[in-house]
Amino acid sequence: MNAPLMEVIDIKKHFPANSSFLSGEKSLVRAVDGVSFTINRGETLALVGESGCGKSTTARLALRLQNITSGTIKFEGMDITSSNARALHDVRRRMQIIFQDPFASLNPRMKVGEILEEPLVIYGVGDASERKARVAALMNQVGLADYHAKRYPHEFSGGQRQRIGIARALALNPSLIVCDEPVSALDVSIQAQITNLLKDLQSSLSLSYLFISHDLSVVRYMADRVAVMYLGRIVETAPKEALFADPRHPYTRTLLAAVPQPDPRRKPDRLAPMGDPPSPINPPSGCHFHPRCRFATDRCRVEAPALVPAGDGRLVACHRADEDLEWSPVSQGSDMSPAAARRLSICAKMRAQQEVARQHEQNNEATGG
Amino acid sequence: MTQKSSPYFSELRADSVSHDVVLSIAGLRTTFRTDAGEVAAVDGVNISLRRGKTLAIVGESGCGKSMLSLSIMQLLPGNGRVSDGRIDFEGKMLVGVPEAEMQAIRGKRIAMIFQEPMTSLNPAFTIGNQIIEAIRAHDKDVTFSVARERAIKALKRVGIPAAERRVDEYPHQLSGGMRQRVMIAMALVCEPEVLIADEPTTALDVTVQAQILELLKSLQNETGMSIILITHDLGVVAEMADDMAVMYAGRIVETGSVSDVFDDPQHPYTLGLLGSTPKISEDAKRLVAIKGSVPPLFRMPTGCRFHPRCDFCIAECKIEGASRMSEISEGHFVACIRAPVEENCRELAE
Repeated sequence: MNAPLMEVIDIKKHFPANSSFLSGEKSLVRAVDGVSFTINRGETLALVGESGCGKSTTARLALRLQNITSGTIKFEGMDITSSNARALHDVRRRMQIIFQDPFASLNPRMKVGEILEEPLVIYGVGDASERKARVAALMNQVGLADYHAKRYPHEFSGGQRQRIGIARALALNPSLIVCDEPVSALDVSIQAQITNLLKDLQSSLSLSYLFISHDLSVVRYMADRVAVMYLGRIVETAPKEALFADPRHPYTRTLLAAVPQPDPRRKPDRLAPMGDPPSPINPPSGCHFHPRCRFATDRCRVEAPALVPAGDGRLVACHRADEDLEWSPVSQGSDMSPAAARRLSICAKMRAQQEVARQHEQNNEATGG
Repeated sequence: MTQKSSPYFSELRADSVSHDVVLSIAGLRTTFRTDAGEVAAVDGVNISLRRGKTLAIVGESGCGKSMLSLSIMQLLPGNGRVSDGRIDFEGKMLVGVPEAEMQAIRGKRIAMIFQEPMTSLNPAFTIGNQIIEAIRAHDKDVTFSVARERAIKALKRVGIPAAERRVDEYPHQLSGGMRQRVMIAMALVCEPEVLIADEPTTALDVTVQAQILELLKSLQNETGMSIILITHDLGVVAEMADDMAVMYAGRIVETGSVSDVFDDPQHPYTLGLLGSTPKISEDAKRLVAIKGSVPPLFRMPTGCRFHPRCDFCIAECKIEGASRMSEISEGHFVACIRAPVEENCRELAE
């Protein structure tokens, strides 16, 4: 079946906000303002943007955790835009979510085994012993040991808690997992463990991810396609290679250029002063990005650009997307010194050897014992 | 490669180029009383900060990098103390200095900015009043109106638009980036010789981070101040720092100029950090993560503290002395008996 797993068409979410306490004037926060995307089976779509751009709200709307103001959401070929609680109950075992904060998203009063068993109980999967076996398999899948099932969340480090959150999301064999900043709260060495785990799980279970992140480096590692959001709208979406090699929207450029790179020889080449992101309560007219864009024209100040195809599966919302704007190329290629690359490849080989030895040992145990 | 063993490298270095060093720390040990007994968050740290330069202390949470900076400022929590070592600031020993004397240094000659500007600013006072307080705390003779003028000037210098109006605003009226600019204005208003920046951009969006980093660099060029930059982000290190020290579990495992450490990273932990950092300029097949996690302070491994997570660990790594510093090249020190790794794993080096 080639139909996309999830299709989101022009969804909007407006929150009421009291702008003036005294006059009682009502205003609207257009948190998500006409967002469309598709997620194909087995693929990772990343939503990137700065805080307040609406990326997390978009993800929650897609899962119907919040009701949308307008638009359409289809999942596995079914329109779930106005499904009732009962219908959603059935759909939700196929779509799960992993949260950013591994401390807040686990119930501190439940043992890990209970946390992982709960979704199975809710959906009436198997009997007690089958569920126990399933919990053990899940823990093994995310790199936790069996005895961890008897412990409480506070006994675990941030990285291990995130593994528990991932195992919980996997419990019901979903086809889509929304990863809402899953590694942002973790240290870089743990971040690498978790992103590697998410990639391994994706290939072994053919999962689709909607990957929400503000970290473009992590996105480049995880995503197949990327959608860049700015103040409630998608400004550019493209396959990963195209987006990182040749970003076409000035905001995408600005974002990419702003990331400090771990290479002292590479001096950043940033666009002109960028200012702070404007408030979503009162966004700028026309193209929301125009006050921070050095290519803005009069048209940009008045008319909001539509998201239109720009070849190679790319969509851009910029009036000047076709023009040859004067910007410096994005730096590409390895930023690691030869010595560092050489030593890291030794580390990787060492790791592979140890992994083979470990599996060998496990097999011996299994056959010998 | 010949390795010259020199456990007291920081003193040797400080002596040979002492005119160049504004702050040097030798054998610093900071301990905390806890239910599990006395634990050392910083354990034998040697660093020197060159005048007008930026030294980055890089490491993950719990490695002691923040406690190191609080030790310098003598702002340690009640159950913590510097139990050993020296902190030499412009010829003055800071360890054990009376609080009254420290108050004349803290904020005036060594200033500090923190990660979360919202919690560092007092929500009940205007930003102007908070900057004025900082000025008058160190110089009682400055009148309020003069101090106010200086506060406005300081806000302008850090790029706050309409500073004359903004000076009377409260912290909640400013964006995160603006608040961090206010913190920087406040820290620099007394023209300190040393600025300690503890994860100054971690809470900020990436486009705002870029602006704050640019601002710090241009202010450094303007004033000639020296910066200790505490961060977990190797990208920020590469962009900002001249020298760097990689910290793990309370100790420095590798230190040198930024170009030396990035060009020729030696310690397996430094390599692990580099391997764990996803790259924005390249499609990586797989990240070379570090296995396991940081040990708790009260259960530190013997010998090299990284050995349980290290791919290259051998029996000698587990005994005392394994974490002694060696000089790999001039000014580039590493605390690993297995470095460089390719010489110890020839069969894998092909």
